[in-house]
Amino acid sequence: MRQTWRADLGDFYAVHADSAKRLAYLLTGDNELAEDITQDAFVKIAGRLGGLRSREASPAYLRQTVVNLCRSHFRRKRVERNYLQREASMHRPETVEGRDVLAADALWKELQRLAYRQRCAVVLRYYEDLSEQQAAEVLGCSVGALKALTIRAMEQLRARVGSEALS
Amino acid sequence: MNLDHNLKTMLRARAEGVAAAPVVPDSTVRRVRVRKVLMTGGVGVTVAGVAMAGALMRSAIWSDAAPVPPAEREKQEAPRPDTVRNGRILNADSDFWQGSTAPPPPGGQHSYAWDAFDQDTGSFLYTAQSMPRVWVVDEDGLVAEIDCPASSGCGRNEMETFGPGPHELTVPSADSNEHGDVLVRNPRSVHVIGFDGTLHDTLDISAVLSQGQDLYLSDLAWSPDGSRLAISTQPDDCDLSSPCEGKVWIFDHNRGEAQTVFTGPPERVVLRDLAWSPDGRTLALLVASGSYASGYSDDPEQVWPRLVALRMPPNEPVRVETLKVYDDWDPGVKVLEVADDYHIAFPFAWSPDGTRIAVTSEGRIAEISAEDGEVLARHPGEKGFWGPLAWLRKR
Repeated sequence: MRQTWRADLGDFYAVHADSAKRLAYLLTGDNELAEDITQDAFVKIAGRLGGLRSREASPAYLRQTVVNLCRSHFRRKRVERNYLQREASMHRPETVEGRDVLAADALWKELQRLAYRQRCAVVLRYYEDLSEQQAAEVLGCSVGALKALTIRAMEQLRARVGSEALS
Repeated sequence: MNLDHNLKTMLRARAEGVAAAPVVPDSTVRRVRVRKVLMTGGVGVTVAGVAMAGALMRSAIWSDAAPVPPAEREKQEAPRPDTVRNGRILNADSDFWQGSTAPPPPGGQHSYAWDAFDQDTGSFLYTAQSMPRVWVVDEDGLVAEIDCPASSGCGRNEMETFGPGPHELTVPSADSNEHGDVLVRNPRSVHVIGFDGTLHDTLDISAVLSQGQDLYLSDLAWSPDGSRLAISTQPDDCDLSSPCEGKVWIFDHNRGEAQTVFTGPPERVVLRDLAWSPDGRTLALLVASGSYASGYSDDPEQVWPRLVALRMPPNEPVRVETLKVYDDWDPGVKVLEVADDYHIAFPFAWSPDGTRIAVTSEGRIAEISAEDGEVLARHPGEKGFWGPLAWLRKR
């Protein structure tokens, strides 16, 4: 009764927290920030778990919340500053050896350099495996716009990482 | 091999090692709780902080220095940033400041932070999860474990306050909704309960709550001498689409009369955290509106929360002064974003001598002058204090 929200939150968290954090991590490239965003998302969604039309809608709502929160964070000057510092640190010489690892690292770095909406489109399509329609809904844009975002993102990745990372 | 394949592989590999905290962190539960309280006008949501018991009242700042009267403070050197001249400031959320105070109530079912603090006795009041029971503790341990009378909302609505007598609590009378939540919607009376659990008195406050519309109580606080009960209210139908004109009333215990001493601006105002100065001449409260009050991010209003002092000298009109505007939490970030995601609680506490008020500011705890709001000292801390503050006397 009174504490139903907490039990609901606990159950929902147990099932979906990891996936929410993974999405946040891929969108931000920052593990700690991803954890913060995950907790923020659960704070926001906790009050509405009972109000959603169905339990099946909750994961989608959580995904939407994570994407929105990531966007919100990138709007903040403080976070942008941190992001730039983080990005700068990504361009330091790597000590990791191995061609595959280097290629994956290069791809990861370039993914983080994409504009947020482009990165979001890529992650939603290639990690979350959402359809174009679903990804467009999460991003709040048309399917055409989603396609354009994805195409531009992939073009930039191709151009930046070079052929070595793709072979 | 192509970019699509490599991208998928890379994303999965990157995400593979990422895991969230295994259970909902306590801080998240606390934020949900605060958010729910704010979104319901401070009504009816109590969370048991079973796992949080260890974090209770752990933070403190010690100082043996004497209280500093405002007139003399300029003559003295600025206080060290990590000390408090006048007792100790406690924050329920933080263990950043080391120190120990009272143990939490036994049983582990109490709320994560105290619901009320009595500076005179240094006592804290805790409630429990959906239990009609409250605990009073001080630094020496358990003072009283009180089973609430069935007719009271005691223990279930976070509206308990100490007073008017030295071993008494005051709570709204009970009313429940279909979920079993005890509400404080239009209670016609408040109950005075002794530490022994007996009903000492019933005060008729229907004059406050018969203004032609449904009202919620959002807080109660007795003046130090037990003669006046401050009551804050807001309309029942306060939401995103309708104005929410909050009010503060003073109920005269002896005369049984109430009068309005403060009316918030007509824009979804939440009045919370009523706290009397030790001399009973000033009532401080938190006034918030816009997205802070509603808890929604799409609210167009951007009004900073503020700490307001109602000066009530004897036989003179009430003066309203703003002591602190919370516009410095994250410079460059609009309150809309701040309020929606972070920092939606702005606890404060009077110093024992009444010259200062501890507030959260710029992610720290600061001492401001109770006269004019000037920042007198800042103390290090972590950003985002949620739980209540209490300022204890020196022992």
